[in-house]
Amino acid sequence: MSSPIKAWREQKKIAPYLRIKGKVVSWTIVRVPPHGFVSDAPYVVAIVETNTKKRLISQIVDVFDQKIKSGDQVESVYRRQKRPDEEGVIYYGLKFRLLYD
Amino acid sequence: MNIQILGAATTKFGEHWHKSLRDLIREACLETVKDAGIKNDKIEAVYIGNMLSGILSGQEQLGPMVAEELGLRVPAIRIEAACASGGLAMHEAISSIESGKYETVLVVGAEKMTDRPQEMVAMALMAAGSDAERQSGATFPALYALMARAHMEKYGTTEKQLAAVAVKNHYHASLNGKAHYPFPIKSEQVLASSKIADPLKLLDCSGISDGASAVIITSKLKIKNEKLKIRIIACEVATDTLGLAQRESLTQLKATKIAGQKAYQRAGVRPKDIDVAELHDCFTIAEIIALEDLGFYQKGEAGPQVLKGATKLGAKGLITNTSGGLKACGHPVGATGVKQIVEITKQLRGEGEKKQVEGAKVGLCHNVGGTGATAVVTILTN
Repeated sequence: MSSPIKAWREQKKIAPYLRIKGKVVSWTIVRVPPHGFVSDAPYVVAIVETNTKKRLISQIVDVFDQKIKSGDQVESVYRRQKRPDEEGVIYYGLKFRLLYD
Repeated sequence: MNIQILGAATTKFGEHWHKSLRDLIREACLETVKDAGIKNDKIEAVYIGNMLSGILSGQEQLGPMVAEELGLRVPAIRIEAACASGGLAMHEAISSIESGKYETVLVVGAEKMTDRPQEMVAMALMAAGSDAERQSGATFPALYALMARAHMEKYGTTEKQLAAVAVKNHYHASLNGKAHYPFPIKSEQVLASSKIADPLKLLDCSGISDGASAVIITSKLKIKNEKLKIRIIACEVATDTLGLAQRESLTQLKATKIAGQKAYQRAGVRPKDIDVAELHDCFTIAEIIALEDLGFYQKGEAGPQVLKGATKLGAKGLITNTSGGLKACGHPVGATGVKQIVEITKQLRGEGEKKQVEGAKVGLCHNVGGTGATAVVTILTN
């Protein structure tokens, strides 16, 4: 369950992960989403390995035509997460986007 | 280990609109007491496995609910480990007998899931994952899809091999009157079903079911018919990180491997000694990974073997998920681990009816919580 206090606490952990690069280890497209994400589907969820060898689970945004493959290079961005609940808090957090060369 | 199964029963799994969680628990318990042929007052303690009653039904403290239904005032303990709640409840009940505290214990697994819309159930199930997984908008199909893709890319596992797991388990379920989906399906239907989380499709996924299962285990009471004597010879648990991303590998469940090895050692049996197994196939890829992690096949070999029909009723060697598995018997999450024990008990008693594995001597149950944060492996023999 989410709460405003939890959102505030989580925000403090995000800064070190901004603008970090990595690669896609495995990915999927969520077509049947959970509560809070219904209006965003379909969206890509992936396991990303950062350049410092840390693995994270995250959405990959701005993927056109759902074209993505394992090994693709990505970088982290700060984005809105799920839809606000009853308390009205808008949740923000990490997502990744593809790096095109 | 001197513990026997005295009674075992399950409700039909399905969408029980007219039955509450309490109704399902009562039905499973009364049937089990009848199967055991004992009076309720022989039960010294109750363990119940359940995951979602708080979130979906607003009901916690399930222990006393079970005791109340049986007119008992004994210790009653609720155990939670997501989809392994039932298996872990078995483990705790067995441990309580091994400790010498009790001699005869009732174990129940129960879940009521169909009172809520699908996206609420999907969100509730994500309580089994990590914070990061919930924030990413992942669902359980999505997490297993990440494993499926990694397995496909590493070992060449195909969507057709995944579909073969569903086809086999639906065939078994078509012989099981207690199954949620008791009808056969074709590979083409699985491959053409709508995508849930690529590469997993609707018919790669277990359904959302209601149901309850129960067993009575004892170290003391004598079973009336010696021929129906079933012994538990191992029950082992292992854990791993809550989140999938932190795991050593995406193509194996370390918890399954550890629990399996410990259970084989404790029971003094090898994978090739197992005649019949209920494996945790919440998604088709999960059965393939389990077949490998439990030592039945080398990594990458389970998919081709399942496609060949090696684990289907009628084949020689190990037969898996005669109940229909989570895929086709249904998956009321807290009930599943106990239902597996009920199914293997019936098989070892020779009461498997149309789905009986001829001459089954040793059976194994494999129950997983989350994406592999908890794994329980139980071995039984007749």
